[in-house]
Amino acid sequence: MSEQLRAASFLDKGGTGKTTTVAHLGVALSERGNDVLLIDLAGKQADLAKNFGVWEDYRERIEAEDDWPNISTVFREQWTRIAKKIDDPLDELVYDTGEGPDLIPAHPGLDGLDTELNDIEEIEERYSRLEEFLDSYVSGYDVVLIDLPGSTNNISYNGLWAAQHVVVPVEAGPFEAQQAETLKSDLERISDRFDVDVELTMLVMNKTDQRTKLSEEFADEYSAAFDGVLAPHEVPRSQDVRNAAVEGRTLYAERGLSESAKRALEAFEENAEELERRLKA
Amino acid sequence: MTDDELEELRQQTRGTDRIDATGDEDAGVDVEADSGSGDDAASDTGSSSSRTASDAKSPTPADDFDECLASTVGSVERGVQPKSFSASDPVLSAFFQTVYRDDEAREDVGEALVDHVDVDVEDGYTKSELVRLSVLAGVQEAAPEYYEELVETF
Repeated sequence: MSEQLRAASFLDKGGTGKTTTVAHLGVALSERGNDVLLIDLAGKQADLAKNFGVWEDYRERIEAEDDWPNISTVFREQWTRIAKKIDDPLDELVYDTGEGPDLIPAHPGLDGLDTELNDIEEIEERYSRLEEFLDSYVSGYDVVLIDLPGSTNNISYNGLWAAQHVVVPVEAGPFEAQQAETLKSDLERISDRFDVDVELTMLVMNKTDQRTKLSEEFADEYSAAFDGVLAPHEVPRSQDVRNAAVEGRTLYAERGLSESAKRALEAFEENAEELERRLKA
Repeated sequence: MTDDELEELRQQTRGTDRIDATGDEDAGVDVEADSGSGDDAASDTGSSSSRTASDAKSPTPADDFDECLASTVGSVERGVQPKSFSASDPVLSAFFQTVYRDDEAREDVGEALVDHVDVDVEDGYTKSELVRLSVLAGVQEAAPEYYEELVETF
């Protein structure tokens, strides 16, 4: 099997469409013939599980305390001992989304995990728990996409360490451009400081309104600032994306798509193809 | 998953969110408050007003201190409360950082502390180990009866 491709969706800001991007890129990569695993570290609200309609089942398991092991367990120092005692530890964590990719949903335990990771004195160990898990237990997948929190903490650092490739969805706006610039600079500093090769692999202009001149101006600005990193297609704003997510599916499982949704879907497909090419390069 | 060890690992690593963690912390405070607020507790252990000068030098744990400690240890092992503890003191912070960076000082201080408290060190004298040993030595020296409770809990 070829080397597993990994990417993490990250920006130190909420509401830019990280979860939607991971969901749609995941399905697009699956449609291209890849075995895809999505990992939701973005917070206990478990939005990726909601996006694929598996939240109710997972919520019931959480309420019944039938939710162990879960994604927060793999970060604990006891994980190796736990995994040895379970026949197929990965199978205990994974859900079928019904749209191609498998999913390890977020868990409320992620909320307290950040504090626990602070207890680990050695920086390398603190930030490499997820990487160790992926290297040792996550086989059989061609692509792993990780949805990270919209803030910088020990969990997002674990995601960056493990993936080393970052996909950044941004909206067309002056603050977002500045945040993307800051992230690019931060990733370079992380690579220098900690001797890991974390790079900004793809910047996706998301939720664009192609009818406005302002959007065009920001597109030009991003093109100049992120040459070679910008995704080939902007993803237009579409109410269908939101509606589908509320119904627990992606656009791929929707029927009767609006024109904007069709353009969004085409953009996700083209961007997924390009992401795969860049991750393999 | 009926294995006893697996169940223990489940309890230790199930994870919780901050809201539940706060609830458990509150529960811990209640236990602690109960232990010292009743008349019985005061009369059993000697109230602070009747404590002699020598008692003050060597304080005695309350009867249910060990129960409270065991309960809190469980809470820490489940990840509800943090495994680390902290102190704010710039000079002490600088001291431990300097000791840790100086190979000779690290060995000197580490070995002296290990000899004093007579406990094993598994991974060498990390900063965490040096602080841990120092705290153990301090409690052992200043509050030996509490130290006994602590050692029994290990």
